[in-house]
Amino acid sequence: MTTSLRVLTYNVQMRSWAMEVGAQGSLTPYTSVEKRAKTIAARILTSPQQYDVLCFQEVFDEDGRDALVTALEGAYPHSIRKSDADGMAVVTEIAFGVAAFSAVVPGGAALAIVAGAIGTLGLVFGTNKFEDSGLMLFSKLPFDNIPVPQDLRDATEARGISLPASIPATAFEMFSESGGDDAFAAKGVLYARLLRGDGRPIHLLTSHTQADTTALVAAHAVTRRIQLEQAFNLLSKMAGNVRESEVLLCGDLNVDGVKHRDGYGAEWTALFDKAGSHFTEDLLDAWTREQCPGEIAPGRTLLAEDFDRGITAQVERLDYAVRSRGPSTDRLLLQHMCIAYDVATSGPAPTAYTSDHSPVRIDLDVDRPFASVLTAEPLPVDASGNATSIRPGADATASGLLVEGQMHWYRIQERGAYNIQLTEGAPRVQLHVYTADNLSAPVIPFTTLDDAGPLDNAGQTRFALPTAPFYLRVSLPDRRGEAHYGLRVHRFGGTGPRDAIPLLRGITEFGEANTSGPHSNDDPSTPFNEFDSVWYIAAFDTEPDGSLHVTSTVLVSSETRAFGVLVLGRAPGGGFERMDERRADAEVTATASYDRPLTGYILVRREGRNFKASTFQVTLRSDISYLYGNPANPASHAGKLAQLFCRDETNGTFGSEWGSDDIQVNVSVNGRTRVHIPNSDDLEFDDDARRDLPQVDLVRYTGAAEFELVELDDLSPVDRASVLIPSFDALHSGDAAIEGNASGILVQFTVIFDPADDEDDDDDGIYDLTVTVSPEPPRHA
Amino acid sequence: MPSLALTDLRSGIVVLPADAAQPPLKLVVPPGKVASQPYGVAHLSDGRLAFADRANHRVVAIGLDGADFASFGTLGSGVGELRFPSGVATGPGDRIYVADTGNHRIVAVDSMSADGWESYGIKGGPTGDDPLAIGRFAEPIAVVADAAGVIVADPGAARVVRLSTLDDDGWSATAAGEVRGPAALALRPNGAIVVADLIARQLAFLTTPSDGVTETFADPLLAGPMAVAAVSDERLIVCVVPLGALVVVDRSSGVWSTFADRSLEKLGVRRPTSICLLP
Repeated sequence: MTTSLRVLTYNVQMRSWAMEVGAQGSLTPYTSVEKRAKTIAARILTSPQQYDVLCFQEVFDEDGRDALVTALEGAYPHSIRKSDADGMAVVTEIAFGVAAFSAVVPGGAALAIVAGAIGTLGLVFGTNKFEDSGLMLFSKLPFDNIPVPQDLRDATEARGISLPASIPATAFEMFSESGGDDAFAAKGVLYARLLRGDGRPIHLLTSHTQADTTALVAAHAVTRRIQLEQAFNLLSKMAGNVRESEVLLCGDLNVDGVKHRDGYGAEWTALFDKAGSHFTEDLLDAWTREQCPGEIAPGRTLLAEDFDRGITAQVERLDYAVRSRGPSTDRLLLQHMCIAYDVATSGPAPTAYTSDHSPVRIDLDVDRPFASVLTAEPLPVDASGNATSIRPGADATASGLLVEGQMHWYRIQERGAYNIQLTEGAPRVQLHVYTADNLSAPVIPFTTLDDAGPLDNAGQTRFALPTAPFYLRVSLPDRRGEAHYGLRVHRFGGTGPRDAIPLLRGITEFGEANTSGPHSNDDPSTPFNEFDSVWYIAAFDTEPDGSLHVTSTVLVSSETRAFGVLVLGRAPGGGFERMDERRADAEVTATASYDRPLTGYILVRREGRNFKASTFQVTLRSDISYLYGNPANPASHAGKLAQLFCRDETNGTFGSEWGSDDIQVNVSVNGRTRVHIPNSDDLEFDDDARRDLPQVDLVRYTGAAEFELVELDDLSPVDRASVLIPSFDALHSGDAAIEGNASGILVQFTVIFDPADDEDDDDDGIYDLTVTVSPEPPRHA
Repeated sequence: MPSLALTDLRSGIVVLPADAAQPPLKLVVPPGKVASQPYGVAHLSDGRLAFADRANHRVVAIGLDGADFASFGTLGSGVGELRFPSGVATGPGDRIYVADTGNHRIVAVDSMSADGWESYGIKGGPTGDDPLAIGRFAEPIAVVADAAGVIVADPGAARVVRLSTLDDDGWSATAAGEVRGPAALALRPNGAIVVADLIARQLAFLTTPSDGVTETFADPLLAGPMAVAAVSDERLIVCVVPLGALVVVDRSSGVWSTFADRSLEKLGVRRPTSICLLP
């Protein structure tokens, strides 16, 4: 039986009709919840990840709850469907219908369990909790059982109620402290003890702690601290020795866990990095401590400074896996924690919006060497066992056996251009390449080599990896059986068009030519001199319709003054054409201008015949930038969906914000509309509404792109607002960048309708656009 | 509690018998579905219910037995056309008034055949240059009618308007700040207007809008009044959204009080939008 355990935690943002109408003051039909619930459930059920446990937060809408139950109860027979101020309802194993009772079980653990249908008017009106906790739990693993004390059974028997000999080991505790709108919901912590495949228990908790408003982040830190201590106390009651138990607390904890330039926030530090805190000494933040950036420990390597910050909502990391230090033997290891894009998005078509949070996948298995990012095996190693690099033109290989859901991670030390492939084990065994700055979305190959022709095996790929270290995840997703695998990593050497090294924009490549003879030979069939050149490849991309004129520049420098450059272009199906050529010098600049897409070849050509000069630097730049918004498109460089967030609705009469904003979106370049998104139900905005914009799939631009919002039903005269999005180079070092690297950054722009002249909060509508800006053309899908 | 008809975004048209022990009746609208976005239910003198089928840009009438279906309206802004209608009311002579929300106007017809079509209103609301904004509606969403004309709730403009006829004559509107989010209206037998103010979370009472609100009543059980009906001068029934309950509001010796009558959730009603009394 597998020891693998896959958990999904997801704040699904299913606010109820009452919340929407009461809080937003809008009568706009709020009808998307059931649709979203069905979409989420369908994605989970069809996901190859085969999740064992699902933890949902913010399921306040009853129709959404029903849709989740209907869709998931077949595959997930063990569930807790509702937990409310008056206890817990509908634990699937409980077949009797009784009111609440309290039990003291052997060992001193106290339970408050409610079974059956509860919720008479008297109970509902006896509390100010209009909503339940919003927590749901679905599991393929069964609940462990707790015996019901005989004295309790006797006591209830006297009242005509027969209790079973044992009950599921589940509990719900409502938080004693809450504030703001949260006070109207029975926020709390839900506990279940589940039996894993090997018969061992895991103490699983899920919670959704006190929320802050968008404007006042961390305002409720004290409340959350009290709530999390309450959760720890419940865990202590149920698990006993927390530190040595197998524990997973997951959910939306509303504590920003992003490490900023000046370090972690005070709230995160007080919880997860402070002596005396239960969440530091007995528990740990798994993202930070077990994956990224990791603790300093023997055999572990800190990730690069630009590590993945793990953002799960807007610009914050709010969704957590909190784990115990665990038992000394057979402790579960965090193999991988990542955004569950299989649930967040699906298919190549524009995806349906599902939530303002990202779902998070937590993949656990029994601790083994090299089974996590943090303990990745270096590839290759030298004779002393130390990590070393792969020489250009050389290979590194590895092989192994994976069993029932296991992963093996490899770490490669040096950036460059690689062909990475499984030589054995596919398709059961899967290979994914990750860079340190994004441990959720695998790197997509630069090209599949179709353009230059295959090397010696079909299906080879050319990865351009501008940062190091980077990681190879070899996994057997199937939890049945085992599989051998073989792995081959070849580093490209630039000896010809088929061995050309990818050039990414703005990334300076430190090139090296062979010194024992010519690096490449001349092709006598061409009118060009390719002799003794290091070949690079780049996409000279522009609009296919010829409407955008682009200029790319190649800079080559060498201390030996031995290197010149030849720039060739090739249209699909056509031959090479010369675009520019420069003789050797200390610094050489060549230019290629084009208004149709070409494959560019940059030949850094050594002049002279002694083959002694070897090193140079080459950099490619272009004046074209790209907007990407749909990560489901394999050609996209977007790591996240483009989104529009309504901070403040546009004003109606006398400042009234009644009704939703009916938004239309236009994106234009040089006066030409590139994207037009007409208004629909998906573009109706109330305060704090967030909508995906997968339609902003790909926009090429030079100079700046204009992003415009039109409020179709605005009563004020100012119903249009726009922002100019500068080029990637202008944005890269600016404040608009949230995250990303040299091949793409997630940027946020504020679009303000009728901005006020002063700093008072009387602007007429404020929206935040989040979109990926990249210097890189679409990938070869 | 008298019999009630209720519109709900989940269950469509629901009839609640006076006897709470009797199960609710859910009406099926041709072609065999519950109405997807019903608003503004009203009772016609022939016994049928009329309501705004917002998603289909029409007004529908249907008998309590599901028979005698009729409708008028298609998407548009001309005669015979509606855009996201949200309110329906009947007045003297069975004249039907419609809050044609998306067209920012009030429509009146003589019958469900849509003859005698009249409309009044254009998009707009009070501004500094035009504080009265006569004839302008931002988001008219509910209507009630009596012998003196029609009363309109316009939450987009944060005001309540009374019209004597469908023209500028007799225009009377509440001033700024009198009401904040008028979601529903009811008429007490004594002619007083009851406003369910969703934003202010209270009931407001007035007679002539331009004279202002004469009385308000707020109560924890009235947090989020979404629909209101007047049983008598002294008794109101309010649909309160956060509670998911029907709340009875009684006045005795000049003092208002409340009690929760029944849970809408138990009746399958989760997203109520309007109620009306049945004879």
